[in-house]
Amino acid sequence: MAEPITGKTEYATVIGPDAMFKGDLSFDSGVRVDGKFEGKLATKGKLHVGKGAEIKAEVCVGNVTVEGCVRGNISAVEKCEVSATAQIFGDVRAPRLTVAEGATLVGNMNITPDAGKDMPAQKGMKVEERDLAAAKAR
Amino acid sequence: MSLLPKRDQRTVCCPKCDGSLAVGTRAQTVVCRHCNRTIDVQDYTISEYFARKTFETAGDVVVEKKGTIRADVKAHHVTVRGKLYGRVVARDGVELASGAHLEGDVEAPRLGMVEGASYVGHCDIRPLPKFVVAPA
Repeated sequence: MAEPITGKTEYATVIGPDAMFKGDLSFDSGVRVDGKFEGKLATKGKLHVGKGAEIKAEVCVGNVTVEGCVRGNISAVEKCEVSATAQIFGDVRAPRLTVAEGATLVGNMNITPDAGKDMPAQKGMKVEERDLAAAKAR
Repeated sequence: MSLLPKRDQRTVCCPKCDGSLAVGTRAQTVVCRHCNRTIDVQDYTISEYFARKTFETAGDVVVEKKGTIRADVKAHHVTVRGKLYGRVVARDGVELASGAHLEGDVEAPRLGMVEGASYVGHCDIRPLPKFVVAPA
């Protein structure tokens, strides 16, 4: 019998390394993807693309950390973090971006303090949350 | 063969033909022995407004906080702390410090970007074999 999951993890939803998902996914909290994903991904929270993960999707999130491979456009309301093992082929739009040396990035970048405004991921937010995110981005 | 002792030498890459050259540490320009063209090998620090159509050097370029470059830049390594408008091609890498602003396409094997830097443009950052130094 599988062991019950005890203790709190940072991500409420995890797509494991042996999983493959095709379709649209939307969440309120964080998502961690370690497997393969194809489609559309939207969350107000954080997305973590693990090392070895492969994503072919339109990504609209609050925060994103990329360690694996993403093919598609990324829109982040707050921040996009790209680690050394990451590979991104697509456009990135975010108010803040950090790139570690060794990462592969091919696409159009729009990294300006106003880039987080009027994003689809922001539409689901309450007014106070949106103002807070905009203030953080500034 | 170079007559200079090794401690007074550095290796640079010709921005025109990608051939590698051993040059003196104090050299400002040299003639590339692969393509016979004169190349600039100096390091530049820009701390004021600087505009030119193209800005090509085999050395490093640093744009200081108060500096602004309006040019297509081709260099070994580019560090931006101020503002840079134009296409950037770097053999080693491009670094954007906090408060830096870059508008233009970037082509380099490495990009370092910290929080607070802004960047608008197309980028091609990948460790490709085309950036491997050509044998002497």
